Amino acid sequence: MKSTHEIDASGSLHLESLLQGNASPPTASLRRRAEVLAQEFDCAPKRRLGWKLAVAMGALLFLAAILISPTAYAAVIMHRASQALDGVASATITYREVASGNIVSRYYYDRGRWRFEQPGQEVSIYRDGQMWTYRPDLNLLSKSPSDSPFSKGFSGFKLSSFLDETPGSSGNISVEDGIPINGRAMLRVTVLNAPLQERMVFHIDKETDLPVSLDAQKPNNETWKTMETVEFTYNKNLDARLFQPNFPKTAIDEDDAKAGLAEELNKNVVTLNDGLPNPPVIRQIDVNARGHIFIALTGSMNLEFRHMWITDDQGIQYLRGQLSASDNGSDVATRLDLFVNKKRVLAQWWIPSRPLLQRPKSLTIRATSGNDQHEIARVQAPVQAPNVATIPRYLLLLGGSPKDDLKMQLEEAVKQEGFAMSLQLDPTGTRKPISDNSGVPCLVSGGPGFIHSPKDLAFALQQADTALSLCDQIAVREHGVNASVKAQILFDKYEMLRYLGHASEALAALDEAEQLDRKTNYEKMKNWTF
Amino acid sequence: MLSAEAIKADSAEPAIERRLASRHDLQEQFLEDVHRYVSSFIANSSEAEDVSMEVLHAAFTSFDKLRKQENPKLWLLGIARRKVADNLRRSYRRKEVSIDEADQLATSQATETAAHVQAILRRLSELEREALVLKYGMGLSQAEVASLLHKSSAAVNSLLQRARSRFIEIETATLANDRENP
Repeated sequence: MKSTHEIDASGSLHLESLLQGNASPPTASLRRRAEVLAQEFDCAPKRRLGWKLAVAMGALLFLAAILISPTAYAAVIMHRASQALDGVASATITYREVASGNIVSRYYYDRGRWRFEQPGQEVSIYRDGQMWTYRPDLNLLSKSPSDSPFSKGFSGFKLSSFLDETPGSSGNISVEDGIPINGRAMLRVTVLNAPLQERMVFHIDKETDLPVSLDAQKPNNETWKTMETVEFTYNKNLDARLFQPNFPKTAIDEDDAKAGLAEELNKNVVTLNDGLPNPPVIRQIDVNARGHIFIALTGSMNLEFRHMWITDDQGIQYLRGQLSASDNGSDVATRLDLFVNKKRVLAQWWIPSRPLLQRPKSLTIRATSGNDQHEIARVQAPVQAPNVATIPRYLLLLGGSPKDDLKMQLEEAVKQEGFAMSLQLDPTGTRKPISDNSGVPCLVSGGPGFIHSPKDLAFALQQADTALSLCDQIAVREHGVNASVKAQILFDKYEMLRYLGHASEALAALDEAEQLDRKTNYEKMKNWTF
Repeated sequence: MLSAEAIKADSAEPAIERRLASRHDLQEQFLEDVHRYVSSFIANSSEAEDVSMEVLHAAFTSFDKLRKQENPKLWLLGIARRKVADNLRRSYRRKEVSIDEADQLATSQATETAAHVQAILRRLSELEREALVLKYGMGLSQAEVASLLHKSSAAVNSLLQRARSRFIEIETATLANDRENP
């Protein structure tokens, strides 16, 4: 394939042209749609701002009406529904997953006060310009001023998420009259998005014009399967305690937690290079039973310290684990703004590149310059006996998921597989540039710019299978597989089997990856040489 | 985008509010930015258009608030980030629910180059991807990227360096592989 970019003599990339070329300008059709929408909004009469839910829903229903070219009748029904919501004093909205029957989340509204619950994960209350958020897994409570629930991303309570599930201009709305539910006559409004093969089915009370339920459906064997239901109730006397920020007395105030952690981490285990301005200072090293290392540090991680390397006294290298996938996918955790001596605390997770046979006694931590790979720091730090069960508490607070053992095992297997597949690193940090490696069959490693001949494919394959098995276990637990992760592992497996000349097994892995990842063109890979 | 000087020039009526007199003005000025950002992440063109419309809708709904923003483009890109993330989550769900339906989502609309760039971007972390697109695809300053990503400027500097490096690495590795297996 022709190169998609030019690498100039200095090795820099013309990213501007490449990434700007990757984006598309709006088509004439999109411009027309935007213009119609703008006109509709600009011409619409001002609504009172009494209940933002009603406004948001009304506007979004209107958007749906515009986008999906409904019949006039359907548009009127939707408009009436939004108007009806204007008069609602209280509401409860419950999302329920059909497969498990579990409540996914629930919202309560009562005259400007809001409560949002995600069982086991979060409770948020908004009232009188204040937002409280309690996270039971951390027993952590935060409180902050807020001008509305929405400003904090409290977006679930606006019904737009339902409509978001069926974006598209080629769908349509149909209405059926006279559907009885619980003895009341309902209108059934079906919003179908054909390209995405999704549809939402609203039931709207004919007498009150209020939506009472919504089914999010997917096609299934020539019929529709309800994946999630949403139930609405209105104007009930909601318990005032729902809107009282009464959280466990043992809850840790987020500000207090920060202060406590700042104090706990206010120590200097080792400084990576005293000779540099603002060098990284390791504040704490923790290790868990699997031999994973966690490092809290402050100081600059820019430029000079772009590359860190950790090796233990057994010669085992450690690989950076990816933290906080739910937050930002970064490999440093910084969700909570935590500072020690006015320096931000970063956290890192390091995974041994092979299962440990012996507990490490010490670590050698090195840093090499991002520019020329010369070593700019080398320090040794002792490793104590495992002192944390899975991950240290500060890492949770900083956004250091995954929190559970299965996901940690998955990350471990994936990292070890990738490492054994390509051996990106070595104990001395000496690496071969690609130009010195001509003629050696390479594997796509995604490693730091250098490709090595494969060294331990048997172990890599074993870890790939472990990772796939863990993906399946997590899928069962969470009622869905992370398709992109699994597809990537399968692709790695294909690469390894291909290298080993196991054509049929390789192609089977590729087929499976293709099933999971329909957006990548795997066709040409099927013709790669074996 | 309006300059800071222009904003200061008229204290009686903020310049942005004056220029964004209507939603029509908003879409005229920023639709291109929004869609370019969205289409950097979503290859399927009709899907990208839908997401851009969702962004506009959210912006129109909060138009009064948006008019008061010092940097409406940044504000819009913030919405776009969330909408793109929502869309990607939905995409995963779609694939998990029904493989067959994903067939219809498979797209060959992007050029080979664009598809290749997207394939590389997908191998970066979400944050790296966003930083690269915002900086180089959208032409934002480092400070603006930092503001959008809720990171310090120094953190974004580091992030961009890492992202650039990884982009090159993956591309280099892919090219090497393609050379061996044309």
